[in-house]
Amino acid sequence: MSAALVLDAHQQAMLDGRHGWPQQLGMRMLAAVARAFDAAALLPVASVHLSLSGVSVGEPGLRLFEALRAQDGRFVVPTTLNVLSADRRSIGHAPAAHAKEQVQLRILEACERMGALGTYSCNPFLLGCNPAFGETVAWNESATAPYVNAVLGARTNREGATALASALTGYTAAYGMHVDIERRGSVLVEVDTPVQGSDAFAVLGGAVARAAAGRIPVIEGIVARPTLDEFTAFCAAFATISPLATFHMVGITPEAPTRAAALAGGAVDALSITGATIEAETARYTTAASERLDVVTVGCPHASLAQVREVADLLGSAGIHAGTTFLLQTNRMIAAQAAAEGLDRRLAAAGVDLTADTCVHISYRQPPPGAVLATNALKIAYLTASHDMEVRFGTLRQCVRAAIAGRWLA
Amino acid sequence: MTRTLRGTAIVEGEAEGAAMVTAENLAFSLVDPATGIVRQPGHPWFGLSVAGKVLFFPSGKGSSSGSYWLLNLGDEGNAPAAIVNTQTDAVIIAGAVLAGIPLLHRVVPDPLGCVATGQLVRVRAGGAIEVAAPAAGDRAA
Repeated sequence: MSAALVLDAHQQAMLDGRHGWPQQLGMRMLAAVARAFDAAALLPVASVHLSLSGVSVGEPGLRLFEALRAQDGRFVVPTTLNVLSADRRSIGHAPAAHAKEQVQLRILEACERMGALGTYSCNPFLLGCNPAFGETVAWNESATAPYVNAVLGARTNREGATALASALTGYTAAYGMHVDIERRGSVLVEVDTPVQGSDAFAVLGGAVARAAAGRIPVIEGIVARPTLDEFTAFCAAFATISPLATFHMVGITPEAPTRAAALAGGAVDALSITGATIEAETARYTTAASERLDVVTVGCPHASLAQVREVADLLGSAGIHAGTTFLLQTNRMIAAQAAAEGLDRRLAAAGVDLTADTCVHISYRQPPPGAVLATNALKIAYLTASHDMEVRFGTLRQCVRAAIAGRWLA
Repeated sequence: MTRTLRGTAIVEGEAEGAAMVTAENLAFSLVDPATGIVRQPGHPWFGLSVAGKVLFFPSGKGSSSGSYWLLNLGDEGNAPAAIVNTQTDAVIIAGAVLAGIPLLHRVVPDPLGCVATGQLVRVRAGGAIEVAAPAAGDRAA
């Protein structure tokens, strides 16, 4: 067993309530986490990414955030914000959701008054928020953790409301991804099939997570460095299926210059991902039996400008079928870029609903029960099964074709 | 007959309730706060309510928003009475601190092997768990 947690004088003062209730509540969370993971110390964090969606935080969370703010709670490190349950640009314009949207507005205002930056995205990497190699951070939103750890070589655990504790206190518990040996791989995964494009990397992320079964995978066989879009698709899918916060790609990710460097040592299993594994992984998310289609959602994680352009290009001169809703989810910066190059008008004319700040999984605007939703996002496909909806999981190309036709095409 | 198991208390507190036991990890983000009913696809508790129960499961899973869902469950009066994990995680810990739900882990002997769903369980301060022997006839139910 490790030594018991030792706090320095400042940390102990926070825990004792001498710096106010917000920092005391934060320290109580962090001390409990440290006790649960045998962490001997707390580490200073360089940044925090914080979840605040109205759907998940709810009115009890609103009361918490407003109480923290009222009692002079402050975010003491740079803090970015995750997706909202509404598009902030249009809050108040849709009367049906008015009351709930006000809850979301008050939560985000409390966060901003405590010092948070209004990024409102699950994909802050598109905005240039990239923790540096070796940096200690506390990032909420499970999809970001594998990107922070594996792709950037910075260090975060998969945070819950502990990210709020870190924002209030500036610390996190020294366990898990903050410990060198716990970042090393424990299973080899050879990818024996070509993988290219965000859709393929999303399925690969699910397949690798499933095969690794809780062991940190060391992946070989990826020939070219994945793009930012490919990596974020892979990471979101990986984090959906696996509880882990990291992986390695030999010769590609910074802590895996060689297979030996990435592995913790000792004999490990070697698994293989084949074309058949990818096909099986793809097939498991579709639950819809008929070709009926109500909603198409793309942009999970939030779409890059290249992905917004790709949707427009795939549509060409065609429009979305009158009976189908097409949600293209991104952040407000990309939405502004799309507007600047005229894509927003083109997409709107075709019937595409380009949303910023939000996401179908966490939005107050939910498709009705029994709806059939098609998506190229493995995470949305997986999560939608908890929403009384049926799912079609396919590629972006398949999703756009289906949206034009108003039905899923074999 | 009462049997006492011992573990580490991560969030201190006392509680009592019927046990729910599973070897599957649980995502609190997929538990409906308004009803306490588990909506996690494929989970053995799918369709069952966790309200007022002492939950025994290995660890957390899924969305990191689970902490706030625990707070929401508490606010709606549908919180579990206590949570007992094999090894708990940060999402559950933060939610348990915010919602004031007693939380234990690393319990010996392993409750997943010796506590049955439906048994009456008492969580005591300091990490003790008292398990009432099943009444005659309960096993057949």
